[in-house]
Amino acid sequence: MSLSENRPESQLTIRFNLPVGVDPGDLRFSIYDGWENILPEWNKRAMESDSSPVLSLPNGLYTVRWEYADILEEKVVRLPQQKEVEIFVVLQTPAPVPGAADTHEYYSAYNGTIARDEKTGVPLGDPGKLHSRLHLLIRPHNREAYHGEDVAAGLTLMDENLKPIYAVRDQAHLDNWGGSLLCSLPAASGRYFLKYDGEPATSTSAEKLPRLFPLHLFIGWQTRLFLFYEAGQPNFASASLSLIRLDYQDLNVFERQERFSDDAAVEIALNGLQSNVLELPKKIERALLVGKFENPLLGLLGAHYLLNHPDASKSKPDLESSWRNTAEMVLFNLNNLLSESPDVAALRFKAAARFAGDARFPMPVQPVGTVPLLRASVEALLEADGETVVAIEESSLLEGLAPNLYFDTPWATFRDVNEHDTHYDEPPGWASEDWLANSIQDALKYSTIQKGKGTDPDWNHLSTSLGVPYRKMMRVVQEVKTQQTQIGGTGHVQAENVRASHSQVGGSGNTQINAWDVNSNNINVGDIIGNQGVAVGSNIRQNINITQGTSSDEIAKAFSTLLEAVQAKPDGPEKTMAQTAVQGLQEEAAKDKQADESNVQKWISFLGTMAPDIWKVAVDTFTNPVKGLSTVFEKVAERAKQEKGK
Amino acid sequence: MANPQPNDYALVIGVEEYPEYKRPLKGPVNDAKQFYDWLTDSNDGGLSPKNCQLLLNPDYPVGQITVALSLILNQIDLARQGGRTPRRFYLYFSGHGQSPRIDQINLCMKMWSSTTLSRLALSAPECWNEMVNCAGFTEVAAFLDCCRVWVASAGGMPPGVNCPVPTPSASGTRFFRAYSSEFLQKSFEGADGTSESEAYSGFFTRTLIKGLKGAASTEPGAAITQDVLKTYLEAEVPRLSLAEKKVVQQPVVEANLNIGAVFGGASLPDTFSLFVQFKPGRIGPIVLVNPDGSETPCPDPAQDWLLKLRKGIYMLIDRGQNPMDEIPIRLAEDSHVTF
Repeated sequence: MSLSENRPESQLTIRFNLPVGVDPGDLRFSIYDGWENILPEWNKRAMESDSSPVLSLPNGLYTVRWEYADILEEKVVRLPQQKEVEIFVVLQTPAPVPGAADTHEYYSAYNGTIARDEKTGVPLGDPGKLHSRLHLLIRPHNREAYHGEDVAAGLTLMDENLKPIYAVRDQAHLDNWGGSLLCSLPAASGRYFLKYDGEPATSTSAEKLPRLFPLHLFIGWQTRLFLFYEAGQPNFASASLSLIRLDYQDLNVFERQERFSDDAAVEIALNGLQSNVLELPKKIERALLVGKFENPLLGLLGAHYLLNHPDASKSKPDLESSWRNTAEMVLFNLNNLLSESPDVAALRFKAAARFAGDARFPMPVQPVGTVPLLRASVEALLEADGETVVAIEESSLLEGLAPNLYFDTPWATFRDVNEHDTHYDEPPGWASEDWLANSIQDALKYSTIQKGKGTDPDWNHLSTSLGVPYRKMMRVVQEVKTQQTQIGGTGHVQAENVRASHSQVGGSGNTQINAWDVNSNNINVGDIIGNQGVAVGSNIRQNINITQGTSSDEIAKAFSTLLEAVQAKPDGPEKTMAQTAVQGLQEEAAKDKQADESNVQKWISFLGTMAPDIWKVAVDTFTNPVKGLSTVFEKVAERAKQEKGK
Repeated sequence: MANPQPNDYALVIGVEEYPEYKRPLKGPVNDAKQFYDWLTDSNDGGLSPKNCQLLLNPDYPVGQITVALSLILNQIDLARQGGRTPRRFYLYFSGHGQSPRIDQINLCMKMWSSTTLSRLALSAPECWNEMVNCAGFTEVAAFLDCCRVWVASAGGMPPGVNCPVPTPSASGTRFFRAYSSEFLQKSFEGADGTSESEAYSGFFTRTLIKGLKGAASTEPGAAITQDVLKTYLEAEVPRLSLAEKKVVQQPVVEANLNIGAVFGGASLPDTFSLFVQFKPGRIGPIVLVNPDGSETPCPDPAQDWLLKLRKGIYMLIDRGQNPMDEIPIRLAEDSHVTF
């Protein structure tokens, strides 16, 4: 039975019952027939925004499924008896707006509509220039989710140079019953940070990551940041940030609806940016067509979406032309609206790269040193920054923070590495540049192997892959090279025994970084290259040479036989020791003619004592000449065989 | 039906002990064993156990993965000497995972931690890329049951085997990649309820095994194609996670194998049993609505009702109630319903 059978058709109407501001065009929607086949024509992300779609389907049972952000629901529908399906969507957002899940009236009092002359503490910034406002609300999902935690713990407001202004606790209204924290302050426009200290992991809880969250306050605008308080810490991944005008009137129905609509569009756009989805919320898409944004946040998000589209000049030149015209208009308007914004500057770099060669989008000459609001902006700057383009100002705050960018939120949030964190026994490893030096050493080593001594990797590519500003990385490159010269000037770095720091950024795509150096808890494994390389056991170091050709193959085959025998042994100490011994033999084999006879003797004897069956395989293997393998092996094996025979 | 696949190879890893991360899991070893059993069952995956490497909580993962992959490559060398070329490489993992970027997924090994040992994770893309380079598989099928959240900006490690010059046949390799969740989303596990020992399993793997054993198909007797497996996983995993954990776990399946590619030798049974037990007092009339909308009347609501039906959505309706009482039934295995 299938849909191709002739069954009478009926119509099914889908009605959307959505919170104010949520556009049905932003729902993902799919339908399965009674045999669980998905109907391709009804498997889509967007529906027309202003209609209730009517579907013609053969009679029978269907499953209608819809998704919005992280919500998924489905209903079984019977045709022709049922004529319509009503879709209810509830928002999951810390912003206490109508239609949001867990928004008790208790929190909705803090929905950003606090009167202009009200405040919870001392104004922020220059008292003579209070043309902006900060509105911060941190709350649990609901009253039942609050268990008396200190919601203000570890939170500090900082100025744009990361100097503490005051603890949030001292300027906020804390409610110990509902668990909310409200900090609503008149403020001077400018850039600030919200700092969270974090806590190290304990036996009962995971690490609470320390974080800097940028707060941009614009003249005439109120910046509102809402966060869920979950698992004993503010959840920055849930951050909902929006802008509303200072003269906004919540009692005005039209204005209120517009605000909800903006907020919903921003949330969807942020979800999309976070997940690399290129479909814009309908509201921003419509606004893009005219290139104007009342709300600057919508403009920033819209521009990023626009510039994320791949070049369509060959496949769809008309579309590409339309994108370019729109981008020109949007950037022009954003420039007028937010001329000092580092996000707008980042968009100019992004546009120059995206529309390379188009005179309307020249590469900016002024680098950016301040921290943007959006992670996509930081990534655009890192992408542009290179040998010939200076996108990130040298020795600036952004240069210092960029390598510590968090990826779990669309906002540009960072781990602050500039000050000692007393929560940790030692400064976090990634606060130092050890990991960067290690990665550079790895890249140099790989380049030496691939292209010969004295060659350099593609530093532009490496800096982008590592997420490190180009000039910052090149300073470390110079240090590494200087150290190499002092060590021996071979241009080849032995990266063994280099302690891997707290966080290491590995390469992807074509970067080809050998990210192997791990040294902790008695595990130390160096490079393993060549398809038979192996490292097993505790307290082991390894550096297998990379050699191509017959000799290498023969040696690899010889060791494979040994390894297979070891692998076949039951797990236990004997196996571990056998692995260690084979590993030791491999290290000697890798030394080629420099193999140390006493070491080979040691490992063979070790096998004879600890794993006689493996000893036999080893002796049998090495008494036959292996091409490329040091004759020391044959000699020792022969001797062992004779001794055994006595 | 026997389904020998002598030219298929697999690396199966299950990690549930994370002493440094302090977030142990309960299901991965069970999951990995189940997938290994499916792979090496002559009627299902059809792999020779020699071609299938299983690693459970490896103590020295870096070396042990390298050994395992080396052994697979050895087997392939031996097979080539016998004139056989490798067809499919399976990579299965169950454990903690993390994704710093959408195109990266790092499979966390036993000693992994979010700080010092944040690189002790196998980079899945680098693993399948190197295996393709080394062996030139026609197909790669990856099933990764782990989170794709961002934990630390650390890359994963390459697999240890390395072939800078790709095998010529690598040019035609096609991929099937099934991730248990969307990028930046978590994956979950729960007690599977199928045994008295309270075994745990990942929602993704539980669904996957069920699907591979036949439930993914929509036509009786039809094999498990990549398309039906994709549809099944993307539909069923969120249902299971919602039902058991009240969270939406949405898998992402990229099915790009050659047309006609199938998984295992199982097919959908012609029918499943539906046993309906009526609550006291039901007098009906009661009907069962079939997937095509037709109706089967219940002969006697005073007695239990046993039906043999093909997979699909059904609906029981009691027309004797006002309003009518009705429940939908999603039948994909032998089921018991009280109505």
